[in-house]
Amino acid sequence: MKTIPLEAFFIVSMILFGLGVLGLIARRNLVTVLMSLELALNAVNVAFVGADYHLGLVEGQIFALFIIALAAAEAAVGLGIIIAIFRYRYVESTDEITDMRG
Amino acid sequence: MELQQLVGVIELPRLVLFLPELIVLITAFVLFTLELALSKERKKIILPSLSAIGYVLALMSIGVSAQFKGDTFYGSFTNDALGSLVKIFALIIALTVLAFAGRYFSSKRSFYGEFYYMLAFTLLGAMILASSYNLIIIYVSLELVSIGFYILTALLRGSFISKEGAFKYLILGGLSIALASYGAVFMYIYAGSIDLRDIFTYQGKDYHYLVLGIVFFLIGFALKIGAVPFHFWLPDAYQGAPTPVTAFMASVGKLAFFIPVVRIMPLVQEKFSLTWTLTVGVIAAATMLYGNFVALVQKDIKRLLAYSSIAHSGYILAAVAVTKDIGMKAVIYFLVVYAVMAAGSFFIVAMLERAEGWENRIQEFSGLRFNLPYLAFGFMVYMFALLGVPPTVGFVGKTLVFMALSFDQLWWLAFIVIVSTAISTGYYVRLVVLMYMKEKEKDVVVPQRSYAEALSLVLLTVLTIALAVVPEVIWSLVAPASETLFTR
Repeated sequence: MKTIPLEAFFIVSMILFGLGVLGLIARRNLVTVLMSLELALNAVNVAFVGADYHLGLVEGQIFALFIIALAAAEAAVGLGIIIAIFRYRYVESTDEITDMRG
Repeated sequence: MELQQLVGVIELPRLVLFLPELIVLITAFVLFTLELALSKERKKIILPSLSAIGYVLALMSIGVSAQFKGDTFYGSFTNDALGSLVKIFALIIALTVLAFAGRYFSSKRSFYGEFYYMLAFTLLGAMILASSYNLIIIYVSLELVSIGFYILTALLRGSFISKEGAFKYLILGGLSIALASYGAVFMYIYAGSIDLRDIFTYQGKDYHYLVLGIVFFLIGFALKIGAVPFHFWLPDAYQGAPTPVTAFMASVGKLAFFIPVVRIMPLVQEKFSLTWTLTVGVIAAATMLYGNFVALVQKDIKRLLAYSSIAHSGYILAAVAVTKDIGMKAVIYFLVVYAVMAAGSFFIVAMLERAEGWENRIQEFSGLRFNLPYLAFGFMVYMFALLGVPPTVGFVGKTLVFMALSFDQLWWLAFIVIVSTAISTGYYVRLVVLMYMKEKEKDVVVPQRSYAEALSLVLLTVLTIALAVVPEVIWSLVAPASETLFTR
């Protein structure tokens, strides 16, 4: 059985992270922006598990478990805030929530 | 036999090191439980008083825990002089937040019992963040502080900008955490350890992963503290949030988010002193100039203070660039006293916002001394402190930063500190002029002022002057904090 090189893990995780950051900047829908954020955090998980596979340790996997749990908490708070925004104004796009300027 | 061996390797936690956090944690859970059980009228009295009792107990327990130094929980929690100093000020400011929060939220018709336990959990996160070298603990406490702030920001009923600020803070805050933990991956693959001290003492041949890790980690934290290319969320979040929460974010939040940077500062400087100085120096210069220039044109007082907060991140970062012991001392001193100044100035805005028809415009400050002489005087003290006029802490802080820069011969950065301070005169002095030398525009009456509020403001104002006139008191805490970090 061939072992997967570390670089392979990092390339996958960098692509995921890049897509996440790109989505954060380029997407306009509120929920999609939140999803992009989760994608970026999951890229970190992939990198951590890959690093563990390479080093033969477990701390990275423990870290990844914490990230999974807390990313879920953050997504819950984020969806709550989006619902609170919808209650005041029926907006879908980040372009429409720009009351504050300057 | 096997069981004995198994038990033998288990290290009992030295809970005395963890005592202040433990007390705040228990307070938070008690508040959480009572919030479900009590009626609304009782909540308004019982929740703040219980929080206050918990924080005072935690403050006293620092006297005990500060006597013992060292690690516990298998090295993942470190109790040292820096942590104790940060915890003292975080707890004092959290106590003053309690004094203003009740009346403020009632006047905005948005009293939520959730505020009190979210405040306690956020404070707990800040306290743990201030005392750990372990990347997992840093990540978890960073999320605890940040999620607490997102919720606290959105707590204003009937205000769209509160939700808007919370959403922007959530997105950029989440991105910063993703970046910081991506940096953690590279540091972990470099050294095979998640303890920052092990990572920087590890003698690896290949520095690529370490450099990449430090860069991502610092970009993450630069987003959190609002350094200039990454500052977009900060004014919106500060303006949108309820003002007592803004005070808490600007003081305790900034203090806590800076501490991991301060902790890795001497460790990174050993390896990459020149690159560190240059990179942090350029970011600091951009932050100071941008924050002060944009603050000049603001019309909203909360937004003005938010940009002044960005500018102060710049002053502190300028001292972070210095590779000597004095730089660290300047950073710690300035961080602590900035927390006091920022909290005080936002609290006065929080009181003014309770007045009928107050809209946070800067013009409304004109002639404030006729209506509210004491509040106007307090605000003048904070403005002079933020500007850096001699008998206040701002002056000592800026002098220390300047001294630190001169020790490292960073004259260009010292020059920019002076130029941006000169620019900042424009908006700080304008507020004082409006309050003291203009006729009043309208009557401002702050209803239902309480003794707790007056006492908190007096405490913060006295601290603003006393910590500068008698600096020995705080210096005896700052000096050991920086020396333990440097002589490891």
